[in-house]
Amino acid sequence: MENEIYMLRLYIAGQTPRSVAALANLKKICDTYLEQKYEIEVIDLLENPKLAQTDQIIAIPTLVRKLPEPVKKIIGDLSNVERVLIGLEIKIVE
Amino acid sequence: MKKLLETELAGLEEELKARIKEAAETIEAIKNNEIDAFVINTQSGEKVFTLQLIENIYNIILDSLSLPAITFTEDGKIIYANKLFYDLIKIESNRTINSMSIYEIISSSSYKAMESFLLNSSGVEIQEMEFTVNNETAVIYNITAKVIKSDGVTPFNIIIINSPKEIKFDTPHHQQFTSSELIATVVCDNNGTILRLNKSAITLSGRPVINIDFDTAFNLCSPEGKKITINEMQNSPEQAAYEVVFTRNDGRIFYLDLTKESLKDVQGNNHGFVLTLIDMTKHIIADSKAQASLKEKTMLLKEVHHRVKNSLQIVSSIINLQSMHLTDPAVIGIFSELNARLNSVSLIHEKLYKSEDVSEIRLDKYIQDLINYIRDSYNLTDDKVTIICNIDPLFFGMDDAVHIGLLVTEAITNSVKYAFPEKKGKIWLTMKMEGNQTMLVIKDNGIGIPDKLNIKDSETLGLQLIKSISDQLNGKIEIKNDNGTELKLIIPSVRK
Repeated sequence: MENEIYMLRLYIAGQTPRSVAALANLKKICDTYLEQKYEIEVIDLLENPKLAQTDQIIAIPTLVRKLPEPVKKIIGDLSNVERVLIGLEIKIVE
Repeated sequence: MKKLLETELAGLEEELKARIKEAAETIEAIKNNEIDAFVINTQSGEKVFTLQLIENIYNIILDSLSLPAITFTEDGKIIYANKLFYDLIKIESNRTINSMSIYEIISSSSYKAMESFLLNSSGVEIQEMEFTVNNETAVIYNITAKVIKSDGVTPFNIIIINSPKEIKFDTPHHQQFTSSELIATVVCDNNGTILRLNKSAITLSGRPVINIDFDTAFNLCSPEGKKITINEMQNSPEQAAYEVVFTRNDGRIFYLDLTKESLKDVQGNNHGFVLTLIDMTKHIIADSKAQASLKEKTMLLKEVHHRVKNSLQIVSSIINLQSMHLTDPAVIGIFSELNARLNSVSLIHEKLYKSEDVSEIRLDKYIQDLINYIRDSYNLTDDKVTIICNIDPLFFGMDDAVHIGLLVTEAITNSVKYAFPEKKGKIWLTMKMEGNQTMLVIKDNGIGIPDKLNIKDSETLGLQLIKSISDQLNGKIEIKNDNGTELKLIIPSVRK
């Protein structure tokens, strides 16, 4: 479990304020709590709406944790750090 | 089979639970304003709708309205204004007001109304609001606005202006309100409450003093220290100007030129007044510094003249002391001539340090003093030789005055010494402006000069001095016999 990699996928819609905020919040959280152990894939649904089917996305922005399994979703702009950490099951090392 | 069905059902239940959880989370995120786009399944596949697109729908509605309207967010940021609104506030539509604050386009007097409207939960409200037109302008609109609050995903407000009551002000001065950044302008109502002030006025007062009594915001008094209040200005004519001293809260003092102009609408009703305040502090300080430095310079110059005069008097005293030991009358004569010459110069310096103006000398008084000296030193009483002066009050610079003084001394002592063997006679001295030249005539009724005497190659010091002085003054000298001797000197006013 120590060395597992987080594969994260963020769905956004162009440059809407919440999309921009979500990406910034995610980067901050990952840098703080996951160090090098993560990969972020950003999918802009304005460019390719069909990709919404893959993860059954309704609201934007939405973050999907692909790995480690099981797949998890966090809906919103990730401004609530606590909720994101719980949703991603990230244990804070004291 | 049954078992398989059960597992299948359990799986479906799990998935359903997950979907419900996701839906709940989505609703929560919407509530928290964390969502601004949705993916909607349409017949032609998935489509993404952003909230900006939803706002666009409102923009289209606004554009189709036949009334000026504007939308803005809860914190007052303008989202969109239709063309009629741009027309109303007289801003060209290529200069967008989008993203500006609503507070930037309403008058400060309407801030409270706007705030109470923003705090109000929802619904339709009618408020009177005053919009600043053309970025702080001449025309003030009194608007009855219908304000609608949208309860949409991102809450925002719409103002629809349904009855613009326009008050057009007639004061040309009001126009300047916008343009000049250098001139502080304050608009007050009839009670003296500040309705509006430009940036320059805020800078001057040191704080935004909107809705404050003018007298409280600007503590003004006259240069003599008398309080100047709004009341006093109100009772003055429609247009009035004052020189005022403004003591700011931080203790800084400003000298201002204040003008007051009544603010009337086209019907002639008084709505208050416009005050313009021009900061003259720098000029006044510079002026008083220049005055002080000039005063100092004058004082120093007077001191110099005083000392020169004293030095000349010391020389004169030495000569006097020396002549007391002389017996030869010819030598004594030379000594007293020398003293007369010294005196004429020393008198100039005395006049200069005693006068207000150190650059010019009033010639009539100077020459009168010179003549009194000559009278004293040659012991002339009126029954012996009378000197009659007729001099216009002319002003000359110091150098010219010295020259004229020396020349007068020479000419008068000459007459006194040589013209009257009987020691009885008259000397006339006249000096006046004639056209652009000054005419000096010294005439006596004595024995006249020897016909052979030629001023150009005269060997006597007196005549040589007279010649050289007239050259210095660019003057023309004439000496002739006419029932006595007449010396005429013409000095041009404009010289090389």
